[in-house]
Amino acid sequence: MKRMLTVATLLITGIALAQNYESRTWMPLENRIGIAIGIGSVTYLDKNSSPLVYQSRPKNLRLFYNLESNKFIFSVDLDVKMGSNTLKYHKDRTLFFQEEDYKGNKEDKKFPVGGSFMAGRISLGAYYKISSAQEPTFKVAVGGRIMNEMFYPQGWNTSGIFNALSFSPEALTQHRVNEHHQFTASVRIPVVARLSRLPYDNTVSAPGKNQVQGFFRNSSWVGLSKFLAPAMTIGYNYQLNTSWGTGLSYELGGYNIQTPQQMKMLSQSILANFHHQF
Amino acid sequence: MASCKDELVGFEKENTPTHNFEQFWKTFDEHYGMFEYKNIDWKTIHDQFKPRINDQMTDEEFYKVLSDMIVLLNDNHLNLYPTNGKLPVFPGGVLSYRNRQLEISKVQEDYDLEVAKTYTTGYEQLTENIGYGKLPNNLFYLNIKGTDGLKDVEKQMKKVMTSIADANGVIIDIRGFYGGYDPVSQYMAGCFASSKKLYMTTKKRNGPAHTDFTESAEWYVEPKTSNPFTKPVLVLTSRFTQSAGETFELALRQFNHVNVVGDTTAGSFSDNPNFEMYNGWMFSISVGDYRAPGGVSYEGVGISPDVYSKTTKKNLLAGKDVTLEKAVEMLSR
Repeated sequence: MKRMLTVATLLITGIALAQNYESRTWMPLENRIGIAIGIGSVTYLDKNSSPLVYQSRPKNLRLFYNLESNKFIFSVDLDVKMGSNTLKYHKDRTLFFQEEDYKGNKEDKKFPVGGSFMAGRISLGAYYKISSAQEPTFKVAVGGRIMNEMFYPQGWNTSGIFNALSFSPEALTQHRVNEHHQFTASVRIPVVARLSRLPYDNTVSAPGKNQVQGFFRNSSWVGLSKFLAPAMTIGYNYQLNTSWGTGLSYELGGYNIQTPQQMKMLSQSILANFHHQF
Repeated sequence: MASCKDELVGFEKENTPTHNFEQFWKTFDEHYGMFEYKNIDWKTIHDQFKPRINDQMTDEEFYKVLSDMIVLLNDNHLNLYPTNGKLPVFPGGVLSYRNRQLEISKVQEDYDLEVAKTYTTGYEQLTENIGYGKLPNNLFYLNIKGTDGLKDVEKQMKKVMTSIADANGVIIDIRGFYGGYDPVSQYMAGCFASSKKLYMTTKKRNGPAHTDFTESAEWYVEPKTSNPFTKPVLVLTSRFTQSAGETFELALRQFNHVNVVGDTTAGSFSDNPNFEMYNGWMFSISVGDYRAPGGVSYEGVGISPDVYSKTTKKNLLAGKDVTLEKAVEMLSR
């Protein structure tokens, strides 16, 4: 609830600040740079190391930059998610260690089985505008996105770790209701990916390799049959004036990874953004 | 949305002792790396223990069954982690025979770094796991109790190598080296290597059949600094020298200027990632088959020292480290 209030407060503050700017002629091309914050939920089951469902409710930060010409749209996004990570049905696990030394000193130690979740994504997109009137109220663009996404949950178990460098065909659509209100939607699906996962044995050690090098040794090119990861985004933007805008977006992504054993994941996030248009 | 998530991500089986037992057994069946080497009939063990399982049993009873199963594998790398906060973590333990009984040694009674340090001057702890100091007769004492990050180790070992360059000999104490990351051990051993030598081959499970393994990886030890130490080295070991501590010793053993004093090591080499059961408990499994050159496996056996020596609990309580004293004497001759 606190998080929702924070997001709402930022949104309202952004609107209030930007309304002070003088209204100018509407710009047909939307070159934007912005920041978005929000919350999400990630749920996954990685059968390579556990039969248990993990879940996280990470905080989400995104930086984005869009560049639009008469025919093309280009975008760069950097997205980071961080939070705690627990089992869905065993949230309060505690380990109990009994320690004793040769002097006869005994100590009982109890630790919560904690875990953290971190995910990062960087993506570059390029799209061709199918409809490109001078000031269109409805735009559709198609293109592709190259994206590297890393999921790195940490804890006592190696569940859920992967890195994927992928190429996705993507379609964008935008409906401008009037000079203030705008709705957007996009859908994408990676068709080829360089997927890095822990191997069947769940270890990374290899001669002369550090842990990162050891992890990336287990990488391969995969297609839809081994890495199915469709995603969709819907958004609403409120344009305050020709220079500033704000908005909300919701992103839903699913993952069905089939190597070395099945892992399924569902990721959702809702973000409030504040952007500068130029 | 919750049920939608379950549909999309998948369901867990019901948390019952029967399901947990089967999951535990199956995960071992599909991942343990030494059924063949240890000649273990895992199916028979399933059939032997299954009658002790019922869905009305308590956590304590279930814990007892699983820990009894683990002990049969004679593997110090197998741990059971109950997560109810009431039952203690069951360590695979260092196995030993006492009074003709097989026991798990949980308390190390033959080594204390604080006692060893009293024999040195200017002892400096360089990282969480690496420390060194001077000994009489221009000898150096280097203590390694684990592996830190490779970059940090590289930096600190350069400092060590410069300091010990003019020493007559070095004693490397790994009696408290309980494990870590093998490539870091490989690097540290390279600081004492006079040439490139094969010291270990490893293969790991890559499928559900007991014979499903990756290709063998070859581990070489070779000089890692511009000034590797190739004068006499004595390595101190104990029954608690484990895992990456043992692979470190295995690498050093390839060189004639290195000898080992102490007790037989734990005999647990393989990596051992954690897996889980439906009740949230965790357990670790040795997923590999690690061999010395020539195909010899020391898993479950340990590596014997060149010269046996064991400091006793009584010695330690009196502030004496008999094994360290013996090593100093050997290098001072």
